[in-house]
Amino acid sequence: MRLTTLVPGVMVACAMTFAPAVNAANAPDWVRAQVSAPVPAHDDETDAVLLYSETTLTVLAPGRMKKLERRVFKILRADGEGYGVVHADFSPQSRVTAMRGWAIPTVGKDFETKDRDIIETALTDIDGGELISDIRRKVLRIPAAVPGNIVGYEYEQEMLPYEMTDEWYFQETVPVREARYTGEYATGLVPQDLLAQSCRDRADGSVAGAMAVVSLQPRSRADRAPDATLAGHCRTHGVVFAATRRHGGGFQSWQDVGTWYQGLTSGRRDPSAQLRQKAQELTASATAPLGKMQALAAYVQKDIRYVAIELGVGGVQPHPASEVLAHGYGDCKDKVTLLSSMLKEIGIESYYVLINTERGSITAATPPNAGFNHAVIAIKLPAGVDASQLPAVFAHKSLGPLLFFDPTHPLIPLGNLPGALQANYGMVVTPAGGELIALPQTASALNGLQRTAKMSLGEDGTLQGEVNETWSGDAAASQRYALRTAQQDVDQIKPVESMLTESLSTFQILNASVGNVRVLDRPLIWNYKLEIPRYPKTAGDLLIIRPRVFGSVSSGLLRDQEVATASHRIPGARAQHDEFEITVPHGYTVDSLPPAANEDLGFIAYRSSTTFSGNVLRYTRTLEVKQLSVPAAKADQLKKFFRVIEGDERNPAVLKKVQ
Amino acid sequence: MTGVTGIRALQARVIHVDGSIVEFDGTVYDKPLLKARGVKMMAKSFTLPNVEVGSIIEYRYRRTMPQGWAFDSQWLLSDDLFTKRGVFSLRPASGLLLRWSWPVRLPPDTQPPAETRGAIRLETHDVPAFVTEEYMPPEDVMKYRVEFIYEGEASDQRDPIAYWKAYAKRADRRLQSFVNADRVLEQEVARIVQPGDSNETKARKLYARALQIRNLSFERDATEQETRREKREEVDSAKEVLKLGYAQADQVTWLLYGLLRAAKLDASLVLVSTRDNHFFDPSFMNAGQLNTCVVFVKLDKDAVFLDPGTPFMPFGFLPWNETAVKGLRLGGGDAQWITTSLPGSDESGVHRKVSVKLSPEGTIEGKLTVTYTGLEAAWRRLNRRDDDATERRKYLENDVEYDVPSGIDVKLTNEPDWKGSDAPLVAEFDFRVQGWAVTAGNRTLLPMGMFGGTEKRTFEHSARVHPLYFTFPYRHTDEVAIELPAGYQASVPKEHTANINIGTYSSSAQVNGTALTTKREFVWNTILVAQKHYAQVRDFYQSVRAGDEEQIVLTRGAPAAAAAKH
Repeated sequence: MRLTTLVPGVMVACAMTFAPAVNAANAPDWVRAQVSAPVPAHDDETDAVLLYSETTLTVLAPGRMKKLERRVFKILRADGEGYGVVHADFSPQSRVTAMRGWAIPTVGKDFETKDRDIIETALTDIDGGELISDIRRKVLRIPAAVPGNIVGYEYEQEMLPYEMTDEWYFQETVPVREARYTGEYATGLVPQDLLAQSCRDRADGSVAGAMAVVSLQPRSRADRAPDATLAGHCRTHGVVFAATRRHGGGFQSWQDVGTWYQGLTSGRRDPSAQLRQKAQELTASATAPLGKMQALAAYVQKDIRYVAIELGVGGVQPHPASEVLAHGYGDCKDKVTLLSSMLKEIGIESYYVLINTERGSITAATPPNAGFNHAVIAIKLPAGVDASQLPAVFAHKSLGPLLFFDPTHPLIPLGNLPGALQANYGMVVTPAGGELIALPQTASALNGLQRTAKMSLGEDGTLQGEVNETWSGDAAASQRYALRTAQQDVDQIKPVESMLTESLSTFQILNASVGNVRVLDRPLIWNYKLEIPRYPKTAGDLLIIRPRVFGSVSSGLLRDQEVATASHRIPGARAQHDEFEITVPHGYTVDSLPPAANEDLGFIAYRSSTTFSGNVLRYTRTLEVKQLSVPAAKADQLKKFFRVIEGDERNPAVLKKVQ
Repeated sequence: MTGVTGIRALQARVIHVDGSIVEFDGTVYDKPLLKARGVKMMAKSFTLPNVEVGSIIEYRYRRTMPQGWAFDSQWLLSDDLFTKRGVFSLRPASGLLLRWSWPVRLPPDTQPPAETRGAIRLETHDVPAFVTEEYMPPEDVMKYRVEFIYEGEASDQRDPIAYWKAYAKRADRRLQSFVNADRVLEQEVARIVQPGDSNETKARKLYARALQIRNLSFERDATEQETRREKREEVDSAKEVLKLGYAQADQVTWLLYGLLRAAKLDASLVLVSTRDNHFFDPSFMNAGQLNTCVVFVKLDKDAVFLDPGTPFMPFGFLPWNETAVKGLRLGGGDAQWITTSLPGSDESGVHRKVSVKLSPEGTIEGKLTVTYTGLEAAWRRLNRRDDDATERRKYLENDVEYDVPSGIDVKLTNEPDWKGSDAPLVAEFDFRVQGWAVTAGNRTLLPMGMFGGTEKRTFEHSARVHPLYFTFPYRHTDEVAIELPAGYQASVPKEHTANINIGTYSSSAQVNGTALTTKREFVWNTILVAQKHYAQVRDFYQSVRAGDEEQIVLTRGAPAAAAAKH
């Protein structure tokens, strides 16, 4: 499912006049007026500032809208030259009818673009697996977009949207001086919920009738920059929704959104004879309901290829289940459709769940809208299935236990959810409409790594031994992905070699094996035998050994000098436990051992300890990430936390030769 | 491409594991890729149904082009996937001479292409999947391929000697036409050099003059409107370059050639092929690969290569991709081949000098000065030429952070000379590493290597497919002075060295009271290493890492028992 298809509409006749330029050589007044406008506060890393933003939405009739976008930027740095390139995505349902740009240089006459300067391109940065889509992009490069100059542009779009809702993102990744939003409504149409905004506290603004004016000053770098996250996602603050009634009833509630989607999927899950036969065939060897569910889920997950064909309403409406089966491919909503239809054949109810993979895009506070970009399934667990072994189960008050599953993810089995979907809001679509639900969060113990290493130190200083690693959850999926994409057998060991190199100057992997690569419902197991020459350092009769032999969990945050500027989102709760047991030659006693570490910030915790007993040096440690979001205010704490880990990982034990 | 090329007769099918065959009869979508000013690019997209593990997929299509088109092409025999069998053929355009070659050999057991029944044909099988690795030569150099080149009538195709002689003659004619403004060039020379100047002084002065020309090839791409408004004139001669003050990169180099000749120096223009994308071999007779030029000039004793068309190059230095390459020297009767110089490791360096205090808590804090010389300075200046001061500051700070294998705080405190070419690039920093020293009971341990981050992440893997390829030889030296807390005694490890001829490493430490000094030197002397030597190179890097991880043992009060050693 694509992000934008739920918003645009079809082309309608142009009733409004596109604002003309004042003349061929001069920028229009609304651009020129910004020459003397004060530049918002900014630091020396700010690429540009948005001096003026104007959005005018005109609702012409139920299902027909027009939108005019205007922007004026002042370019401050060479990296800001990208603000002189205008992008507008369009489809047959959302045509761009006009696009123009101007530049006001510090010296000389203004520049103005021509229609022939516009380039149309396919989108190349959308999710992979898309065979065909009717979304394209118009691109316009404004001349002289260099530091010191002002660039402005406007474009107009005609739309026939599926929902009469508009989103206004009034905060950009650069400081904004002034942003205006105006809604104009044809006679008889009634705006509703205008400016139900989720980030009101971030801006000073006023609302008068159908017009909103927002002046926005970033309070800190965190406010103006996209969030730097552990997951690598970005998010822009400040979404405002302006909705209007369509045919007497728009999306007043999530139930409304769900009813609309239920209508779109009506009949799509009807089975064909071939589908019935396939469902029976796949489940024939399983006796228990859970086994049957697993068989169907694995089939859709593995044997139905991800291929998206999203033309027109195909961006939101799934293909019929029988077609998906016949072709052997489909996108996320197609996979859900087929799986739901097959489950029905074995007497199990299931529901579409629409979700946005960027956790936080939709929350309980978000006004009802259709801003989803992915579909998963909620399976109503039949009686007798032990839900306690299924982390992705949610106890619904009326539907009973619902098991959430993402058949598009190739490596997370039935029973679990990918980290990005955990604790994320999804809309469950039932015949009664939609309901927004927070999907379950998997316990940290079910996602991560358990590593044990039993090693012995020879008289010549060579450390040798066996290592066992057990990977689960998303962490196992990452390992499986790396193994899957290895081009040759020798490439499979490369992630292990890279991990070891991080901690060891010299080593040799004597043999290695990996298990359960394709058995998704079992942990992934690595076993390898390792030899490390000259591992300890000696100083007189002292033996200096780092008990944490390899494997680092300290973070790149330590290198990030801007760590305190943004909140951090974490893909999933996780835990890592390491145990290193080193048998040293007889005749040594403890001179000093590293101090134990015990840090707990609530959302993340780390503990380690080192002991020496007999002739065995034993080191254990556990890192547990408990929450999925760390506020920016705690970033400094987090940095200190990882500094403790870094120190702990380097701390040596000192053993002394017994005389 | 509509109006130029088309795709016809697309057929596809799936052969299932059970032998059943499903012909493709689905939709072929025309996917718009680009539309701009009369250009329209489309792609045909389709997907095959019911593809499962074990299925064999087959497809074929015909690309059609308007008649009369002939263009150079290549058969790429190496693919991302293992190739079981590959069949290639090409029917040459009539009336043109076509040459073909296979610069990287052919896969084992593959017969060379042969012309039969009016077409050139080749069949290959069992070609391994192409893999990419760190420090590998350009992909184009390593992939099995057959190249086809059409030549125009003017080329002499009898043999490489005749071919290059004819080509050199044509190129020299164009060059002489460009610099044919003797009086203007002589006047310019007279304005710049003194009669008593040595040849080297003259060359240096004229090189500096050429660098003053506005080099359009290294400017941001202007839009058509901007270019039109600037009323920029076409440059056709050295005289116009001097008059207008701007030129493309090659024209700047040609101007220098003209000035040197006008100054009566023995200079010649050399056409070269950069080694960043392909390795040039004259025997393949592909003049299109000679993509840039340099000047070769004899001085009083020595001779140097100069390329003023690339900014920021110190006198006597070429950009790395023009070093150690074979070039065609113009001006003689026959084609003369000459190999450009490769600066030694002593000529391109990074020197880091640190002066810090160690706190009892293990933090080091003080000053760091990094001096980049030779190509180390030149490529940084070239790559960051469009950055502003903020971006350059972040770049230099990141450069330091990358080389320190720990989280550090580093802040640039001076304004480095980004515009120069001969002068070193010097960056000064406030420098702090929290937790650099770790405590073990009543001892404190300090690692010997402070800037080994790059070597720590290099050649991690035991398996290697391709040769090793480096841009230029270099020398990285570190000198770290650490003032220990009062009352601390240090025991330092003995000197650690590693030497494989093409690379050397040493690290050592000295202590004098509370003054601890460490020195580290990493020298790399080559640009290409055969794959069979990979194990030795990897061992060398492991030894470097071991040297960097040697520990200095600090004790409070009495000296440590002995130096830490393996």
